[in-house]
Amino acid sequence: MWRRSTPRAGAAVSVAVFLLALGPLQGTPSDAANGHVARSASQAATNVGELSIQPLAVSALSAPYGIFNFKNVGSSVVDPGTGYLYVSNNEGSSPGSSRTTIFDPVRSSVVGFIEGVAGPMVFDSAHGEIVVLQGDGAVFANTTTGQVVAIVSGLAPEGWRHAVIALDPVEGLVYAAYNFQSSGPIWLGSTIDILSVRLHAAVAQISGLWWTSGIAFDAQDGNLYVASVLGGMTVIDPRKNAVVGALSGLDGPNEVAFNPDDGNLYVSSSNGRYVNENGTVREVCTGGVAIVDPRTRRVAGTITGFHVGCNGPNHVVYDPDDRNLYVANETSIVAVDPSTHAFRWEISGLGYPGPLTYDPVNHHVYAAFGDGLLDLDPVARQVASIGQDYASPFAVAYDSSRNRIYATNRVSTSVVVIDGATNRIVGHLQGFSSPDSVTYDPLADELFVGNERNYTLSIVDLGTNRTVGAIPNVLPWGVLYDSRSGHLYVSTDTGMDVVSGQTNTIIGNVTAYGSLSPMAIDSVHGRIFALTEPNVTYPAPIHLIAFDSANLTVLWEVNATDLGITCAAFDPLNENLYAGLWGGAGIAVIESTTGRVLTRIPGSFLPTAVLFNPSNGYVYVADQPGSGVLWVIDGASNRVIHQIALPDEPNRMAYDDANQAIYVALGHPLESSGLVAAVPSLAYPAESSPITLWIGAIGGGVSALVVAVVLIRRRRSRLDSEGSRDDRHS
Amino acid sequence: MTDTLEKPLGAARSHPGQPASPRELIVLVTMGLAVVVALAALLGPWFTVVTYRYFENTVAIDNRGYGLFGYSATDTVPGMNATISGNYLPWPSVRSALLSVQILAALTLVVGLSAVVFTIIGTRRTWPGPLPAILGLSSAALAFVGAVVFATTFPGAAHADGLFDFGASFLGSASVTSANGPLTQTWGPGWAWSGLLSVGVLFLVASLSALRLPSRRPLSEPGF
Repeated sequence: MWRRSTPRAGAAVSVAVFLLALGPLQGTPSDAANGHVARSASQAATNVGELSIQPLAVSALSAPYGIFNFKNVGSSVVDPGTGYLYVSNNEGSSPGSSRTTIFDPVRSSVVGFIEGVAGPMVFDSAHGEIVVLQGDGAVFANTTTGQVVAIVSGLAPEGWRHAVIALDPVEGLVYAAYNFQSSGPIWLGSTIDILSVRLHAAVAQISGLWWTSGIAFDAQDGNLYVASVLGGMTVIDPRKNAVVGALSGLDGPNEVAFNPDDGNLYVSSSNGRYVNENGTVREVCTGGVAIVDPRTRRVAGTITGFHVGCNGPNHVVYDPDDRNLYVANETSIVAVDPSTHAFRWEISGLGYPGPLTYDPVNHHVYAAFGDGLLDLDPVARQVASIGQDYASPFAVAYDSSRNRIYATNRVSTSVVVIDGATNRIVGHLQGFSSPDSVTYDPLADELFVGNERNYTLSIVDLGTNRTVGAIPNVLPWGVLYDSRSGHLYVSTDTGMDVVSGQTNTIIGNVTAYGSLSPMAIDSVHGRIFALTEPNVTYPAPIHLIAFDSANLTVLWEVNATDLGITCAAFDPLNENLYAGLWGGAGIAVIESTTGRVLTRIPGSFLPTAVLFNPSNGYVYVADQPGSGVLWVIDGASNRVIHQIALPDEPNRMAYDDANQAIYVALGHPLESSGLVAAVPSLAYPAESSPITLWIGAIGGGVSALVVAVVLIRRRRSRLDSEGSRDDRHS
Repeated sequence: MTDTLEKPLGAARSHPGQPASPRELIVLVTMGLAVVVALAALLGPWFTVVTYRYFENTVAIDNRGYGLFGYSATDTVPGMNATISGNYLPWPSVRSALLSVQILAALTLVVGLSAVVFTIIGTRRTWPGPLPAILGLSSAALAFVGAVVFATTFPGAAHADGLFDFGASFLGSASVTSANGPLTQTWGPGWAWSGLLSVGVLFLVASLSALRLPSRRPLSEPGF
């Protein structure tokens, strides 16, 4: 029978077998944005019971997502033509979060960025370019256009990392040292790649060196001096790229600085060793700045007295204007007179400052310091701070009038102002006291900033950027704005206040079991969902209460003690409440009309914020395990459809309607750094229902089989009729 | 008339199946050796400079070889051996001078390889005739010309680009005082340059031998 089957029948059978065998197919991620997903309350309400979680695609944020001017500052250089400072940020991280910030010291402002470029760098004055060691190669970026003009990759083998860069401006060569340390047996190796700044190409390589810790160009003899952590120094003649000499006698050299006034090299050095004295082993640390005379190639002396441990001094730079060496060690920066070895001035109380950069235009010295720079003025002997954009950003709010985002610096006194159009920090609002909440009132064009330290709510007129009032005696972290009524709902010790956005006065309050913390607003129906916060006077149970936002009447009340709600948001599409639950309990989907828990979505561990995204209809849950993750929930199926990895622990979120992005405040509460990230609103493939897919697959397979049988039967009947004709002819 | 596979030495083979004569084999091996040497010469150093730099009581030894496409060096200083490799991108005069030598060396190899191929064909066919010898002679001429062009142009170009402290000579030694102390330099042709000369000699000898081989005539088939 099968010999008579037609090709079409074969194809149909194949399709049937394929569909039946393969069953439901899973969707693939898509970057295409789309609109709302049409859903209904009844659809969501059918999903009762705890849902299982499937392995999901986890995506990192697309570049550039990090909103910062300065972050994990590293190397920097100065363009002597413009006086601009080029500062490397987030070296070694993903391209989306690494950038070079261009800072104008005259205006004391950031004037531009070179995105995706960060690392040890030198400035090539001849071509107006910075050369940055990045990844396994180097990037050449034009400082006039801010554009990358060339990338040389593949210089360093896998596992090697760049450590040091130096420029020979005479020969136009960049020396890039890549180091490698293997595990057992320990081998410290270094390879120096030599790049031509004119050709934007690697022209030579020197290998077989020990671990390179510093390189300096001696403008007087034209040689490069390469310091090795093993205590030696190699002399390279860049005219021929030949090793022309070596010297020893250094004790743990780090960086090298050339002093054109005395022709010496100054090497910040530190080392530690264990000594056995009468059976007692103790660690002995040596630290100082070794003076190397390149004319005799000998260590001519050491500047000591830096009071350091075994890890410093680390960085050194020479200021030819005030003729001092600036030496950075573990806790301080010291200005030392190289001729007398006298300490001129010192900035103490720091934590691992450096690298150091001398600015030939304003004769300042800059020291990288955490998420910013220290600006050392040698004449006035003053220190100023540059950057330090964030101090544990906690809450965010969106200003729809100006397309701006405000982020509170919780361990500081400021609120960061971000331009939503450019995703750049455009300023700071000052004068707060550990601000931990921020709420925008579009009707009054005012910003309400909660001050955690003094339990007040500052009111800022955004027309003048001045604080125009304050509401005392509030729990400032619990503030929500209702666009329907134009009121703010503010948590207090005894309940919840209603503040008029127009008059900035308390127009009502509700007293409950302890304080009431507003969790979510339903501006469609005029409801506010609040959680009781038990205190000494009113211990547990914890209640979730729905109020009518117009008259504060209680619509329903449920005992939510066992849930452990930490945050919540209202989904206007299915009219459910999504509440993040503490301690790995996931997310509770709560019917907003009754307070009944419809289902729990497992996955999140410590949710800190829930947000409904109106552009794609998803619910986003910020979760704090590890570095942080955003769970994306499709309310139609109440399933987690995607995860977005975050670079730090998330706090609060805000939605920007203008660019359809979610702004997430990131940072550990105990660390004075952090940043705000913009998460784009993407459409993710909905996880298809297995039942639907199986029905489709079986239906398709059966249909294909039927088609195959019909085609085979028609073929057989045609062959039979042809056979009858043949019999008649014969 | 019948043919036999047993023929006296030196007699012309007239059947494709007849094995090559010892002289043919010598020509083939000589040409093959020349091709191998030419291939190696493309990669090896054509010009070497050994520099001893004295500083105080230490000495740094730089043993440098310049090839057709780049240079490499081993540098020895107390406590360290470094390896250096580089290209000629920064030196336009050297690049320009080496371009013609690169072409000549490549042609030497290609033509020489052709000579070998046709020599192999000639051991089985009659039609190549004197072509292998002509190609071999051409390869020899290219090798000689390449070696001479390199010897006459490279030192001058390198001197013009500042690669060397010494003059434009192809062979010599000098003791001078540089910014990095007194130094002694010895320079001259590298083994790859000598190798190219050897290639020329080998092809010359092989080609002349091939020309002196008895010519090959086709045999009449039995029955004709």
